[in-house]
Amino acid sequence: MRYILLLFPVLLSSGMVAQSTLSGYLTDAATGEPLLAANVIELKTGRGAVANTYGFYSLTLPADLDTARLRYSYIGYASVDTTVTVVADRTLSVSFRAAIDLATVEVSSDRGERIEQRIQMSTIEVPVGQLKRVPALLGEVDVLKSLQLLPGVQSGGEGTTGLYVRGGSPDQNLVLLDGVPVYNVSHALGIFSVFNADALRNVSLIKGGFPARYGGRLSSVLNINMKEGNLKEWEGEGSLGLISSKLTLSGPIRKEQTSVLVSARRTYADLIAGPLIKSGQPNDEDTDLGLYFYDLNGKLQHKLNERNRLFLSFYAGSDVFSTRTTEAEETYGGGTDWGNIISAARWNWQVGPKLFLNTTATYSRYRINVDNENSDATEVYRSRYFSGIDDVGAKVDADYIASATHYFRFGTGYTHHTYRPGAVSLLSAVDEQVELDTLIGNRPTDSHELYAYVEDDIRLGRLGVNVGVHLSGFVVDGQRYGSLQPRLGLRYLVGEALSLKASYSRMQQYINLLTSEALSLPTDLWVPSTARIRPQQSWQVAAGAARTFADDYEISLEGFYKRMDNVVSFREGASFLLGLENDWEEKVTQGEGEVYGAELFVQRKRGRLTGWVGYTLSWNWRQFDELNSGRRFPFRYDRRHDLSVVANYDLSEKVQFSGAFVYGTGNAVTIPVYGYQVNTPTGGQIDGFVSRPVIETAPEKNSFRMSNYHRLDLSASFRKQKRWGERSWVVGVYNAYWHRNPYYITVDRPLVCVDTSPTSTSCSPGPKVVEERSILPLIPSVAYNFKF
Amino acid sequence: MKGPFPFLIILLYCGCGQDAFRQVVEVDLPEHVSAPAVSVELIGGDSVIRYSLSRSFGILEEEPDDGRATELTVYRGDRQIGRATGVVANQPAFMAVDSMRQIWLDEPIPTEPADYRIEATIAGTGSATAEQRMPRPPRVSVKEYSGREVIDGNGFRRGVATIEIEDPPGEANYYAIRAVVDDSIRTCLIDRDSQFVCQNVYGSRLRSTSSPDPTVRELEYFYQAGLRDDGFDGRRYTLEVHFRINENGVDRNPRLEVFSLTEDAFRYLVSVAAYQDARNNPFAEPVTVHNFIEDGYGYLITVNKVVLPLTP
Repeated sequence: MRYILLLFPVLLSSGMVAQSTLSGYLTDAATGEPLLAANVIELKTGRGAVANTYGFYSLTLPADLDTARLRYSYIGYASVDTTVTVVADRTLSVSFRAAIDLATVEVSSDRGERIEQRIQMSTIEVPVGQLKRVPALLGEVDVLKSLQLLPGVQSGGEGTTGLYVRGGSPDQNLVLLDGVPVYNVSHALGIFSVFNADALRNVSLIKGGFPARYGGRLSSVLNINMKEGNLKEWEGEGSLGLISSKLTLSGPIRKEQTSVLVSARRTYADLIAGPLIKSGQPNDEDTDLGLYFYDLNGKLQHKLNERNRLFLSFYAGSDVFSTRTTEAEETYGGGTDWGNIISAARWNWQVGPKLFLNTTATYSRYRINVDNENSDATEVYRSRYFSGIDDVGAKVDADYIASATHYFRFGTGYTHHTYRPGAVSLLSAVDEQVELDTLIGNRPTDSHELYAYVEDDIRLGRLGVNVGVHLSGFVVDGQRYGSLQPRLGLRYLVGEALSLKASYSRMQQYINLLTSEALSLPTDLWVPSTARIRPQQSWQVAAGAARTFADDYEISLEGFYKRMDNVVSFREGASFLLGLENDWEEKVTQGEGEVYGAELFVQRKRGRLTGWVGYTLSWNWRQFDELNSGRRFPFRYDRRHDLSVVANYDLSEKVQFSGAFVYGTGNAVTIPVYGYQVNTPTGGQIDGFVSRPVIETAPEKNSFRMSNYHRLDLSASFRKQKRWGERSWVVGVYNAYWHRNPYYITVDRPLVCVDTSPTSTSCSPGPKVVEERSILPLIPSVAYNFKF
Repeated sequence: MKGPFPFLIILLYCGCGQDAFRQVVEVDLPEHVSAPAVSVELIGGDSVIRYSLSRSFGILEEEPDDGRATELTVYRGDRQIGRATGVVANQPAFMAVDSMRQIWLDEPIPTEPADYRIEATIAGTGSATAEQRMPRPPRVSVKEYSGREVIDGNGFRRGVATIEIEDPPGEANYYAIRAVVDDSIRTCLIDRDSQFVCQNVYGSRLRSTSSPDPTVRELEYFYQAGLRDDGFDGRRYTLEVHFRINENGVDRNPRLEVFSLTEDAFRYLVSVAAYQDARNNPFAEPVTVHNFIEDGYGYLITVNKVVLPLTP
């Protein structure tokens, strides 16, 4: 590390001799929102720069240049040409106006650089406008579900929002909302994500070749930025859907200086079902139903001056599934609720024309509670299972744009984690005398995570290099871990429209999500690495080519190999819902993972017909000494073929059609295939216990394949301009041809019923069958959207 | 009608075919070919081989109860040391403990390492084979037993003993530990008149045995607590052992039995214990029971045993 720091001033000094630097912010003229990755190019020298996440750019020009002819551009916006005299460092902020054919272009806008020009590979930037057009389940636009349609990204199961990126598991994704880690990304048992698309500005997913500024997870970085807020005028948008409604308002508190954004979403199944349930109940019985989720996003932006900005962002969301019935003097019921609270305070400081600092303080909390109550006039019994994780952290990220050929990033960060990996509080009282009031389970654990990084984006003619190193440390219960992770990305331009790329990255992860393969429940536990549970590690190499055809089509083809060590899995037979007296560490085991494959991505970004085709061919293996007799086995989400086709067609300015088709190899699962009887050796009884001798098992773990998954979603949007703004009806259908996609598989002995008389039926268990059960049939939807 | 409504109605109509709302699809399983399932245990120093033979069945079939002819042959090296014939021993669960059969040997099974092989045949299902090497007897001693007790998570008293394992270097070794006391045991049988007959006999009673050591795994059947020498290969290892004690009196002649196991036996006993724990628990992770019988199922356990008396 000492050598890296010594080297750094040398690197910084490169290109600093007698040059002038233009810097400033690139923003949307209508809203003041920063335009991530907007371009500026000096036409005489060909030197260019790209705006960072906060819209800041810095372009250093040669000393012998008297006047600079600058072209600022961003797809979907009118270019801005200007000529400036180059005499000294100066600030030049530019606002872009949307292009005339905004309706067509907005949704297909992407970052300024073409795919073959970017050094970073294995990265997909998805404009929120485009995500919003993908047909959605129940009309609820979902960022994560749209990401599942990209190559290298898989869903866990029908309707779920979990992301399995290049064979990794969901806990290996670093999901950042305005730079703050989000631990639970799902609502409604994973059917919806917590991200309200109306409040989002941009979404990017990195699957490999990770730049040094990211760390802490093995498989992906999902960077989601909320809108900053409209500094110019008040605006709003929202929708009324079948299951939820949402509203987003944004506008200036003080024009051009302070803005606020508030966005809220709530489902209302309880408001519909609650009265129906009550209407069917006797007079002395009353049931309160909790069946909803909500999200609340907020952001406050304040420009202290041209160089300093403050931001406060906030997210709170929760799911509630509960019933509570009061019947005479008896009260009983229970349920579960879980959710996140996330907040960040950010300070953007343009220190100079070449140096930009972003300082952030973060807080993130995830909790899940499972409640049960049974009380009457004399007895009270209450139990609550709870677990969660709290993070408090701070970080400083710096961009130093030394010259047109060197773009340095460096920074450091610290996070204090508090884990609550599962405990139960019990209260029992009789006649107001407390008989039991106790807490059983795992104690909270604290850990400290620290990191620092430095990276440089180097552009030398046709060769582009991103090189960096990420250093991380972790302390938990006196146990210390550290890791030095080199990162490298290469791009070589072959001609004007084709480039070859390669990358290498090492990653280390100190926290783990214990999640059950048996059931998809929100009872997952976040736990730290410990003295016994070593940090997860990975290294990944990728190579590929990227090309743009006819300015309309972007094609990328990548092959990758990823090796993971110390990945965590439950031991066979483990169950964390029962046996709370056991420490969670005794229920898990560690092993290795190996993933390799190829991804093809073809995208059309302009014209009336836009969309993409993504295809992934991959193999995904796990090997644990304590699972499957130590033999290698396919990961549950080993998906040999994964295809997605997304198409949007603009019939006119008012009518748009969209469709998405997905196909994937069925999940690998373990189900008993045969049985046999063995007898107990060394006869006798142990404390009166005799084990049942019949064993029903499978030859190998995950040796059975569920049926292949495929589905077609369709939607149509009918838009109309009104005096007050714009409205649109969006009608859609999920799973248009009603394919019964398997959600889980079970061996069952269904009842066979026979009419024994005209008024009675006799039922008895029939022969055993293996059944795949699906949960989401054809689901139509309609939503009314408005914007003003 | 204007706008989206005709489109919506068409969609709803398309969704309503015959049995359109059924969300369950029956799937086929590959046909299972029935094979012998063996239960064979060889303990160094014993003059008897305990065994039983049954027949595997597909998960969609009923458990077979067909009395087919069976044959089991046991070899040490190339020499046949035992042979037995009979019929398939699938039994009701409550009788399983008593359904092990015996092959009486002319001489005790040597405690020295040797290769053992079994061939099991059931009429109409072919033959299954398995090979295991008899592990060396464990080198183990009691380091401390003072009569100290602890209370376990279920509120029961447990005795505490500390043993020291002297692990041989350069090879993977597997151990099992269980506590045993002398006690009166009530055994029940169904006699020839189909009457349920119970009687008290005086003999060894196993006590549930565990360890706070995180490397110790629960083993199925009567092997109780097991561990492997990953973390102490070739070194001495001190292990604290906990075992249930008599809640109402004093245990007679308490002792620890320490076994050396083969890797296959260890994996099998761990996986069956996990299987039993997970049975009927929908929240449990699936279990694949370790199988090391070629062309069949079950186990061939070869063990050596050392008995450690516990005297405070």
